[in-house]
Amino acid sequence: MKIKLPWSKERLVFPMVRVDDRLLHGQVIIGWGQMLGLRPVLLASDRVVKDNSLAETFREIVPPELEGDVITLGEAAERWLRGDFKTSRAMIVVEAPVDALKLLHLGAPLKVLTLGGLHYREDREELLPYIYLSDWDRTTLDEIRRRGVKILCQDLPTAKPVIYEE
Amino acid sequence: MIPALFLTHGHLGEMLMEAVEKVLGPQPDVIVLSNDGCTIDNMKFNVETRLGDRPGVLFVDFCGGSPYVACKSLHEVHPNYAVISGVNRPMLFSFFTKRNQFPFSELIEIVKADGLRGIQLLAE
Repeated sequence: MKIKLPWSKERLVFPMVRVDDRLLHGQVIIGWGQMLGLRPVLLASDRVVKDNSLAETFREIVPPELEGDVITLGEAAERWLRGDFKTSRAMIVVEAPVDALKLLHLGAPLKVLTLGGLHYREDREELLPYIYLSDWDRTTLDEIRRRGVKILCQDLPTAKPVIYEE
Repeated sequence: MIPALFLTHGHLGEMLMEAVEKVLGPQPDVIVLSNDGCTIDNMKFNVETRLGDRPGVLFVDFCGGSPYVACKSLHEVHPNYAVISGVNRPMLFSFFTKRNQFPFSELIEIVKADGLRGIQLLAE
């Protein structure tokens, strides 16, 4: 049985960059990674890299065939610029919009950004059931858009992407 | 009594407990939490608030989900929280029928073994 997606897979741009405050978890590893055969699946986070045990947890939970790793934003940008992701179906997960903006500052040629999951916090307001944004998140996303990046909201491959607008 | 805490996706914890209680009847000292709408920090807060410093067994649905990440991180601060992933009914039957018979450290090993033993493959 083939699952019919409500969008065209040809539109996938690699590396996929996903904002998700749960970082590497079921939707990312299984929902996207295993379903669409993505690899490597990288968590780019300066915060997590510094937290050895948390970084180790994320390295452990990714099935080996997905080639998961936790790297700094700098390393992600460097590998991207070096052409490491040209022939791979890579996914880079960042934990907040500000980290996506940092990737741009570091020279990463980001064209499409997907908001995959930003959960409820006191300072955030609901945009979609899986996307809550603070004023600071919105300011950051608007800045990212101004730099020519298309921003989509999509939690799972079986969901239709929603375009984020100011 | 050693408490059981579920931290799973959606309503899985509730449904598992409902299925367990169909066989064993109502069970005391059970906390059922979901990761719905939660950040990892929310999940950790919810578990700590409910369990405090008591030793407990944390059942999570799979290694790789956000509940697992949250519980593993809690386990580092609370070594007396045991975390078992891949929760299934065999391990729950084991836990609820044996939690008063064995010391904590032995119980969790038995529960894991019984959970694994509950997985049988019949093929060809």
